Amino acid sequence: MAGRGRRPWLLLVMALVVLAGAFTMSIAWGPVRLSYGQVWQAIFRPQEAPALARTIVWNIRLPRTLVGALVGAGLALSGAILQGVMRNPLADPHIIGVSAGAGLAAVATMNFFPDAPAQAIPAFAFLGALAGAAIVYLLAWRGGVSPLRMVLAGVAVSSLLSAGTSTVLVMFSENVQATMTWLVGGLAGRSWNHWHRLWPYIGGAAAVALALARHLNVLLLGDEVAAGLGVQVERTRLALIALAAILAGAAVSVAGLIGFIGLIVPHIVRLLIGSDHRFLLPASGLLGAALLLAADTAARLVLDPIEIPVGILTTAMGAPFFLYLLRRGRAPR
Amino acid sequence: MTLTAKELALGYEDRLVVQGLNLEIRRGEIVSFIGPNGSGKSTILKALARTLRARGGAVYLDGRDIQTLPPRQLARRLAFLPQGPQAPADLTVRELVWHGRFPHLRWWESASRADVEAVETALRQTRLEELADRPLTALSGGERQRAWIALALAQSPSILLLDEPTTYLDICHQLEIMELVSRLNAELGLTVAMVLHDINQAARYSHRLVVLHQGRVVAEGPPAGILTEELLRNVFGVESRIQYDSEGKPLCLPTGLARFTKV
Repeated sequence: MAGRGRRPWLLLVMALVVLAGAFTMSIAWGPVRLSYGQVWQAIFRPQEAPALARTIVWNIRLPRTLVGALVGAGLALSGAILQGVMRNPLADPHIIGVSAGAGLAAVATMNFFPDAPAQAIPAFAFLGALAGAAIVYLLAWRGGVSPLRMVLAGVAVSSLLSAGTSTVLVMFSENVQATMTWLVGGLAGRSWNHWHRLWPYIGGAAAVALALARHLNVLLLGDEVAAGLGVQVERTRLALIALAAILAGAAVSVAGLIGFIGLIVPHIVRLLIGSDHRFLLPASGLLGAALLLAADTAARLVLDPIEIPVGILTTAMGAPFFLYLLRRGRAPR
Repeated sequence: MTLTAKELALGYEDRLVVQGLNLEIRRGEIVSFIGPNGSGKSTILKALARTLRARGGAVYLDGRDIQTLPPRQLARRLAFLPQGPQAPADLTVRELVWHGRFPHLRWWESASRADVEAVETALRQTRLEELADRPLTALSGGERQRAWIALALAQSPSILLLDEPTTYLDICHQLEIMELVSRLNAELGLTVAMVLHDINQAARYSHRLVVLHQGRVVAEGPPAGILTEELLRNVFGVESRIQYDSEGKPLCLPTGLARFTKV
């Protein structure tokens, strides 16, 4: 279809370059600084690389970076889809109950079943995320789901679920440290296991979302126009919300409740590239990954040797930036 | 292509707005629905476009129930422009019109020569070539409405349904839209059914009027035959004088509110 000429493609390529840069930095930088040559060697010619570099790259930083990229991409893509579906620039994965559902499920699992295997927490967090979104969707349903009702139901349900999380925290105050660490979100210690469990969900949902980009564009013209153009509005909206829930749910189940990526990244991308979702979606995914990797790298370095959970850093960077966009008066449309 | 409604019942939530409606929109004609607020004219148009599901009865396109047609197939034959449509602020006219090709393109298909042709033709027919790369927000109300009509034309439909296409426009832009509709009908043989508020514009530009009151058709036919002082009194609650212009088209001059309304 007609677009704005070559500009969106150029921006996509630039986003890819930015991501490659953030990816490389995330592997090279940390308590032990590796040169880019060492990184290259360790990844592509591991037999020739020194044992230390090989171990750091393959056992610690590469899986952590790959997981971080998926998490960032999943959150940003989820936010981009939701801002389109809800026709609301303030929509993000928190608004549909995903984060609150995941948070409550994870916290409840950690505290009520302290003996549960480590893999149980992400699994239940993922189910909790999907359940949170499903509750919000069902409550908003009245012969169809209006975006406004969905946003309102999302706010109410999220508050309720968060109250549940706080209750559990108070009941098990001796575990608050571990529970809070999960809640604020971070990538410390994320391994190949996480990667193997994460990529099918993020990859699959992202592929379907990209295929639905044109549907999303048409939905932006309003339900009646979209229906007149042959879109099955309710069915398409449900599919897109489900995809957003899967993307964000999978991301937070592995990395905890990382904030603001899903809100900020689609905003920035929309300012740069416009609201054509055929470009907005992939660019959001790429830049979401890049931003989370950059934040995670910074989280490892700023208070070295202490590592800050990356969720704190994304919020600390995201909130002021969001206010800046708001004050400039261009962001919310 | 004819669009027929049989025993149509329509409503919202627990309120029934239209009941037992029979209607036919014939190939190549311009039909206007007129009636007071709440008479069900927009509701009927939505049902004809399939954006509102019928409670009873059905709408047939060339004899086939439109509920049984795949949505995209319907959208290739029939285009619907609702009242006061909204678009993202950064959308240009050409990008908007391209959305009209949605029913013709599957998600894996990229635009063909025919798609480009259809879009450029729609822009030409609505005289928007010069403005094609401007954002919609930079256009006047009349130009913007033409852009939405161009979107509908890009669907390459045989039937065009317009819900109050002239509302919020000044008189000059209103006439511009009406002339455009006439021209599309005359040159392309496009069938047009629209909801209009202005009785005189409806009478001037339509082959046939359908007058609605409380969800029922109370009069139907060529404007000159059905627009009477009695009808205006009973349906709209106004006293008026009907005059005829040099082409024999009726012109109604409201003189005041009717003292008491029957019906």
